[in-house]
Amino acid sequence: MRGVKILERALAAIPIMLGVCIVVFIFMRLIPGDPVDIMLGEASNVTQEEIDALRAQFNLDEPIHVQLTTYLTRVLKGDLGYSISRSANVRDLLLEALPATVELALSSITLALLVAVPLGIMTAVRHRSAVDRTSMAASFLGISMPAFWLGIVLILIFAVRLKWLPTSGRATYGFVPTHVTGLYVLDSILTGDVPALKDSLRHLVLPSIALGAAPAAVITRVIRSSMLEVMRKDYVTFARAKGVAEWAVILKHVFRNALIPAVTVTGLEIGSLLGGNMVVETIFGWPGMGRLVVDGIFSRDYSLVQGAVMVYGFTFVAVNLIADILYTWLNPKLVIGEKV
Amino acid sequence: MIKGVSARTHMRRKLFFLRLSLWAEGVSATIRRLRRNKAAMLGALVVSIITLSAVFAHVIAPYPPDEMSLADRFSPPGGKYILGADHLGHDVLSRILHGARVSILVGIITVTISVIAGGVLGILAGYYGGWFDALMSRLTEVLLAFPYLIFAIGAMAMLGPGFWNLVWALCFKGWVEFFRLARAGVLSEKAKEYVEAAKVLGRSDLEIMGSEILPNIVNPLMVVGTLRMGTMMVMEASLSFLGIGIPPRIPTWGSMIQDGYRFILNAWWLSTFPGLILVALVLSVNLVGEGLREVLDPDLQTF
Amino acid sequence: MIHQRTLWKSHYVIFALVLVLVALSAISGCTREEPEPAGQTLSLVIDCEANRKDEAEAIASQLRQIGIQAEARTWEWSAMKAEFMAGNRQLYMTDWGSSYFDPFDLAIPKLVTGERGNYSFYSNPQVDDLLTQATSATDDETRKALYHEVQDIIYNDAPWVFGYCLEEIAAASTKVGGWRVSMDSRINLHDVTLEGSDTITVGLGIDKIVTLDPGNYRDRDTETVIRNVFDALVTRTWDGQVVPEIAESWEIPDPTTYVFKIREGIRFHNGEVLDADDVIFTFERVLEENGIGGQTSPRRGLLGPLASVTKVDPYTVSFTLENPFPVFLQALCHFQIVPKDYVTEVGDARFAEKPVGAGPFMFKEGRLNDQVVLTRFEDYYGGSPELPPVGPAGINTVVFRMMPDPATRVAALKAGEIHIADKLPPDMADSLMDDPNIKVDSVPGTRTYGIEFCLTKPPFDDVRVRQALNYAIDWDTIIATIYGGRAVRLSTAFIPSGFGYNHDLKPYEYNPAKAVELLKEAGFNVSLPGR
Repeated sequence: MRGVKILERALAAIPIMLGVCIVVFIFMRLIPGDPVDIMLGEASNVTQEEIDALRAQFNLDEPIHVQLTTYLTRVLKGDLGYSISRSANVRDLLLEALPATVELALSSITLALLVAVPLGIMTAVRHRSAVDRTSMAASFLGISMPAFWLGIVLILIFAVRLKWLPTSGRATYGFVPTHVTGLYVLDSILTGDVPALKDSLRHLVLPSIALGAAPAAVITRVIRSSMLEVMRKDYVTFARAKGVAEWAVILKHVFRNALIPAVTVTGLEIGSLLGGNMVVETIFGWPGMGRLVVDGIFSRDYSLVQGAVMVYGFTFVAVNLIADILYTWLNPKLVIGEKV
Repeated sequence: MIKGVSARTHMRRKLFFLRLSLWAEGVSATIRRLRRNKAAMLGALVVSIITLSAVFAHVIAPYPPDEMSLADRFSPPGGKYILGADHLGHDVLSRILHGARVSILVGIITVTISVIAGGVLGILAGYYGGWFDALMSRLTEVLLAFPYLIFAIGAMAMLGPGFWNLVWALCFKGWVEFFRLARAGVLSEKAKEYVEAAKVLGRSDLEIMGSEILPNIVNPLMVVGTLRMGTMMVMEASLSFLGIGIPPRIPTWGSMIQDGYRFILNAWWLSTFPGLILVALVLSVNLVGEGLREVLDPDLQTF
Repeated sequence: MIHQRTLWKSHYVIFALVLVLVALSAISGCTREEPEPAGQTLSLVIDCEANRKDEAEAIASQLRQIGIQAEARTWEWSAMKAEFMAGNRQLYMTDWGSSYFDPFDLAIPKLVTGERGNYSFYSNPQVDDLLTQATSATDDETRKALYHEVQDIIYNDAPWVFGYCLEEIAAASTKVGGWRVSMDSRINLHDVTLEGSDTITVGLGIDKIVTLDPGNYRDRDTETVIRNVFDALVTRTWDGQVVPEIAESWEIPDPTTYVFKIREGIRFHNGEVLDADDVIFTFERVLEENGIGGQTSPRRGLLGPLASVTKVDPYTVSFTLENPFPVFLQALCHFQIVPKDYVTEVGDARFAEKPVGAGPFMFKEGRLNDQVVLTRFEDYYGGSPELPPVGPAGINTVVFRMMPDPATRVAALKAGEIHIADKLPPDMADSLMDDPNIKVDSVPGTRTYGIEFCLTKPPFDDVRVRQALNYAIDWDTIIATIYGGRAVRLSTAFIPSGFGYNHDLKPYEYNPAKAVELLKEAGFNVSLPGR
């Protein structure tokens, strides 16, 4: 029964993806500007024939519905098209940029969890204590601080003044690990390349803090509030009355049951980290999806933006689906699809 | 009783005032309870101070925001310019004060438009269901799958620069969340007895939606709306940071941070002060929103 | 009426009223109200891209001083271009580069009727005619005279607010020797040495290069990388003189024929010998329709009237033009020779991934949007004898890193992560001047910066208004402050590094009184400050 529900949800993703595809396709063409003109830049003595030839080459001379059909057919065959501004296949470009974004998102969320889980438990246990109040104030700050400004401040302090960490980029030349997955940290562990591991971790620190601050704050708050809620339940009082050690009560009974909303929120935070960090990527010179797609919009690189947004859409749908599945799995009383 | 007004109309009017006063009572109770929340009151205080100084910026700012004296570029804080001068010799303090207008207005206007548009569409979709609901729900699902900032960048590229274009660009996707909140609220209210009762009594759909359902779902909309004001302010700053926000004569905090970022090595005050005030404002708005949540809808999952 | 009293007592109403008042007054504050003076007010919006918004703001502020209601607006380039090309804008800041050191690729696209870069819709049959003559004339003196005449005409026509020419600024660690900024923005790493390390890292001011195939790009940044891997028949000194490179010498028996003698003993990185066949292949690949991987080379237009390339003997090639093309030698600097056998064998796509050239460095690895790594080619023939040192490169490894953000480049240079930072904005260059470990260098640039008028619509269909705006802007102050003095004021659209620049023609002076006079004549209500 549950399997069927999951399958149903997965199938419901198909029209969403189709919708994303069509919306971005039309949206890009509504933005004024001609990709061929941008591609030619300041080229002088260009003839109209040359321009027409280029337009034909990228199928830009056909009516829009024909272009859309052609594009959709190609996408179904796994061909995301050719990027005008970067002279490369969109799929290759995305496969290059995606690991960078994924690595940054994963490291940010790891950092966030490392802070949030202990802090969330502690604030719940020491409810209304000084620790609780300070952490809650700090978490509000974390939520309210724009990531890009935090990034600038971090660069200013740790890279420019103290010179502890690099200002930008993913790796110093010579420290790029052999390509396995495209995630530098994972690759350097897999190949046993210690200097490369150190180097990529050093590059990850500042952008991860900048991006991880807000999720850390959110997750702390969620863990705290759901633990507080669980602690009021009868079975917790009962367990305490039975003489179970306090730490065991907290970890076994309270934390486990408070985990459900935390997992959901973590999932959603990963989703938004994968989708919304182009300003931070720009500041840290991170060669990820965000820079690719912003640049694509500015150079009217239709195929590139379409491809990238489809990846975003797919990630969003997938992350939501996984969060839903986890939610029901942790909380068997619920049926998938009923969550608002 | 006024002559010529039927008893029925009179009753209606009375009922209307009764309802309004109940609502007002509720609101004042909310404010009373909110007053006990120190953090929220602190937030409200900071928001009021910033708002007031934005409104009276032209009075209290020491210089006009667009007055430049190129000779004073990069004057450090203190002396002639309290918070220093920027790369064109503008007074940073005056620009921060005027920039507050943009941030606050963007926050209020985009959220208001989004709440109204999303709320109305959500109530209609939830109440009537059917093809309209299906269509709108699919549309919101599609829109949700777009990263917000990318959508806004695209919209700005399409509309061109300008204050109202920025507002529209942010609203393009902003209403979606409120649509979903309102629709979910209507769905759970619709099943309740009082709605059934009202239907049986022959009241029109519009009346039921407006006077029965709306008051019961307005709380989460208010709470999330307040919290989203902070988000919108940050979005405006991000777009201005990318150089595609509001024309330069209107100073905005985002573009000030961006300008400062270019000179981060020789003039730290350019991006530090607007950044700090942006954080302070967003933080305060969030504190108020969180306070509202505790009073109005404690179960609502906000962050 | 209890209910109503409660209603009025409630804090809510007061709160709501205050909120509405605040919002309204703030709105009215945002859309500032300015008293409308009697008569016709000149109100303008100056459109610009984000990188010139400081300048635009300063200009708007200067124009406001004489009673023009001017405002600056920042756009994203393509959207702005679409708008002004549709004739919807008034005046817009644009710039245009010339890579031939000749007005050929500047004046023609910008000023000839209907050309691609003619954003101001300028149309003057006399200018069209003079420029056409100047392009095909064979005698330098005649060409110079023609160009001078064009400059005089456009000076008076004032189709733009003529602006300035920025210096190209770059900075390097003091450990780097033999480096200087080149006028054609090439970074020649062959001639560079580095103290204490054998790997030099260059921070490029872009987020990606387009390709590593010399036949398939059109931008300068890509060329910067490519020219370290590939050599051309001829090259330039830093100040734009054409000198031999792969070619040993050349002759021009008549204005439409160029004969090149190729240096013997040059090898490509894969050991292949470079001879006439490779040169012919290189140019045919570009000339031929769909010649590169099924697509026509974007460089086709750069070759102008080139009709054919033929082999005279294994080390001599002859180029035949359809009509005289005085900038042909300059153009050839940008066509790097590719190995015929290798390209035919592996195909165009593979060639772009693993490029093989005859330049001082071999491609090792890298990604176009991240970093590109090159290593020294030990069997390098030495490069142009006119550009010492001659021989293999002085550095073992070269890394080009894509760092689009100037602040990042500066910070990385200060931190020692990179050794050369390309394309620095003037204000940042100043902050580096005090650093004892960093040297800053600059040369006059090859781009003309100005503000173009939309000539088809009022008020700028009136030459008096156009001239008035040229008088009304204090460029010297703008250049001195915003651009740190690192720019040259221009008298017209022409730039000093180009052939035939008229050094005697003085730029419009800053003269607000004259501007006011002209504008009043044209029927606008303006006045000098303080009156």
